[in-house]
Amino acid sequence: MTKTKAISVSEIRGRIFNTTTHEPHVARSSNPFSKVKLGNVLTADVFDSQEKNIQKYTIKDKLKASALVGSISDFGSKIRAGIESINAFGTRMKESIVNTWNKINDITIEDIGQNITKSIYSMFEDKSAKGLSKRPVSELRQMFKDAEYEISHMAA
Amino acid sequence: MTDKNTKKISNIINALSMHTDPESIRVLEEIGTNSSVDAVREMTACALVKKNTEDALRVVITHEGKGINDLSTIVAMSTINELLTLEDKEIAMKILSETVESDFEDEIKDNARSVKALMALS
Repeated sequence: MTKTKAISVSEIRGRIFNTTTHEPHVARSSNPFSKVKLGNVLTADVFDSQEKNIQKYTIKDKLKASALVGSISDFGSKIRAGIESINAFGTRMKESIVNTWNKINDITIEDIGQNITKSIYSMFEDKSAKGLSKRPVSELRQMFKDAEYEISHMAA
Repeated sequence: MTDKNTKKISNIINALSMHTDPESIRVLEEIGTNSSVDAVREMTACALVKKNTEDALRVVITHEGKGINDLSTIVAMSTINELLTLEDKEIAMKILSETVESDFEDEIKDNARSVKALMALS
């Protein structure tokens, strides 16, 4: 079986309508019209059929192909699952970042200042009996209640 | 009870003892004398005695299970000791006398009589 040369449409057109020119080197062995003096004859197989490229696959080959396709689709599902888990992780991360950001946004300089002031006051506040006696009874009542609760539960 | 907690609650009780607001007696009575911890009841009873006011002394003398009538001997004895150390015993003696002559339960009257005798001797 000889090799056929594929040619473009413009070349075909040139060869059909220009009968005076002859190709110097032509492979005519596979051409049934090569022996006939018809002037310029197409040397290339313009009707190159795809049929000759069709190979005969055995059942075994088909099974292998099927298995390959199956494994590819399975691999795809695994990739999809992986991507979905990545998506879930990303969503979680995003949510936590958004929450943190919202919390940060909620904290104002005033809050920070108040907390610092409160902490400093609590550090230096007079927790002696004399100092506490200057506080309102309602405040002492709550303190007493909390302290008594703490002690009674420790003793229990 | 840790030292830190004892100090904290002791300061609160003493602060209430020093407080001029009559509501402080109510707080001491409600929370302190009803505590399940003997030490808290003891400190509270002594704080009420230190106040040396009629309302405060009535709590530790006439109320059942509180002050000199407490079921804990330590609490009762500490309260009596605090009454004995009072510089001005006039209000305490008046309440003790009223308790002995009133319609309180015999146990309360007996306790008041004994403490009155001790205070008269001191």
